[in-house]
Amino acid sequence: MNLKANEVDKGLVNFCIFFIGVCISIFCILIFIDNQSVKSISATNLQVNNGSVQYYIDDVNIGKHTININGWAVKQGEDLKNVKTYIGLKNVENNQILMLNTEMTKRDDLNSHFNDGHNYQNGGCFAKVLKYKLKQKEKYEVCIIYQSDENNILVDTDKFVEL
Amino acid sequence: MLFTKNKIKKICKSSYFPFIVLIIAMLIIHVKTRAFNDDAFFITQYNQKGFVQYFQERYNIWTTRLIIEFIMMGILTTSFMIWRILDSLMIGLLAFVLSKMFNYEKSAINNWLIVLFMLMYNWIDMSSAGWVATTLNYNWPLTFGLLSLIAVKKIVENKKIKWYEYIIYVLAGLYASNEEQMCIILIPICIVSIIYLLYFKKKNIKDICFIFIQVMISSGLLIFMLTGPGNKLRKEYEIGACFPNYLMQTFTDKIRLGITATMSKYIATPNLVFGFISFLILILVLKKHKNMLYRWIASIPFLTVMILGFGKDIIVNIFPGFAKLTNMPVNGMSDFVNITVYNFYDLRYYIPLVLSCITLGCILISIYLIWGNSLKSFILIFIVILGFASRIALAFSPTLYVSNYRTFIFFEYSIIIVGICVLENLNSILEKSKMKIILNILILLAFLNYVNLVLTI
Repeated sequence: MNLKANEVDKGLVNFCIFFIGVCISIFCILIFIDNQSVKSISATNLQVNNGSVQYYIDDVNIGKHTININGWAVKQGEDLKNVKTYIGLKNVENNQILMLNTEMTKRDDLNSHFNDGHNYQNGGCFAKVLKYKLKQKEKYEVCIIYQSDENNILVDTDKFVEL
Repeated sequence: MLFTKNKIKKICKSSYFPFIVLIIAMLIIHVKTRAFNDDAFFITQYNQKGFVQYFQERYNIWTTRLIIEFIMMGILTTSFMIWRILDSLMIGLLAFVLSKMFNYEKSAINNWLIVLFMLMYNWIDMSSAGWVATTLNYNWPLTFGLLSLIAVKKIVENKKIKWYEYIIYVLAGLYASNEEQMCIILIPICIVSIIYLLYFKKKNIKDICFIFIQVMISSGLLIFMLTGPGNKLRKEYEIGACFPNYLMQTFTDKIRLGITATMSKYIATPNLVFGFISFLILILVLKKHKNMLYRWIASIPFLTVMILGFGKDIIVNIFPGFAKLTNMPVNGMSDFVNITVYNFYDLRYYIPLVLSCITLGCILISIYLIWGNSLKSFILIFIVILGFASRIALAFSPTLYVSNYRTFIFFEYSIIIVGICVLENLNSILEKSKMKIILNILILLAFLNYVNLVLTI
């Protein structure tokens, strides 16, 4: 088909609509995959917590399809600036750690709790994992992978999850 | 009296007279401006440290925008009045450059349209980090960047470039490329121009060597920017200060944030420029096409901004569920609700992202529907994509929110360029009476925005 200048190619318009639709769909799927992804990591590169990281797991909520974990972790005596704190699940049998997609949460109560002049308000963390990502009848320990402010510490919490 | 009555009449009739009006209008606004924020900080720092130490420290711990800062310190240490005059002239120059680039008919009426569009821009955005600091880092690079691209246009159109123009274009390119967003706009434009000239216009390498020089300048400054120690340190500082969980954002998170944080300004707030230009696009597509699908495509951006932007309060009162689409402003910037680990499984939270992408896509398709298979279509689509990309690039910096609306200027002007071309096209095909109504709306909006500026500053 020969098109004159300034003429609209119907096929091209339809292709553009299709292309934009496909791109949006792929991008949304990528966001979904990204948010429910769990990353398997090795504990060997992580330092053991010698007590420098203070933490607490407020809640482990096992729902119909998901497990929600809510808690906080801070290094006492250090302002929390560059936050990179993840919640993980450590398989107690093979020590394999699943690093969950984690969201930082604001915890203003931490400043009043420690009351030492340091800023810990970004110390909260929340993770959600789809249950099918975990193996049935296996026991997992909730752990915190504390990489904030260039630390690299694995914190065991003594809280367990079993499906 | 320097001018006789005839000379004044001649000036008023000149196609450049609108720019003189714009400069005077801007001077009136600039008289009310005062040095504050970073402007005051820079002067204190410079006076304490001196030239060499100041620039050494800036390079080592904060920025690679040394060309911009050199000019900025020159102005700040001389007089604020100098900036008032220079910036007003710079806005006039921006209008002149837009005219040189996009006023194809070289008519006075089109220059008036450019001026009116520029008066619709919210110039308050250029004060967020201090007037001098913001304008020299955003408005001036935009102006100089477009100025340097006049050379590309002249080469494409086989027009002669005088020797002194080369110096102006090189200096303009040098200044513009020192700003990261403008740098990433200039490089692709120059590269695509080279490809176009070599393969479609069959030009010799010799004819386009000047564009190669422009690419080299911009690429050199890009490397300078990427390797500068200050930028890395600044990023670490900015993460702690403005975006503490920035390091936890994945690549898709950043792209998503870039899209929604950018488009929310245009469709979730009553944005005058976007609202009016999407209205013009709709009229032009309605005029040119009877196909219902095409008409719907052109109406989506306008309907979106009218419903979620201008009509937000009314809509939320009638349909309260719509309030869930937007978040509380972050650092004064509106944003759509984010998709996070809390809500990713709930498809409702994907609506803002999908709507943002569809709106942008509809704008791009509408441009094609207006100009069809033409170079103009390609150029305008390319400009909008690059303008948008310059904002997306900000998502790879922790200053995405804290930089506030000043970083939108490149995207906003890419939309204004589309608006200028759309109105020019409408002017040639629409009945005079209807065109008069549109022009009156434009004049009214520009006037109201100008009064708002006068009252706000």
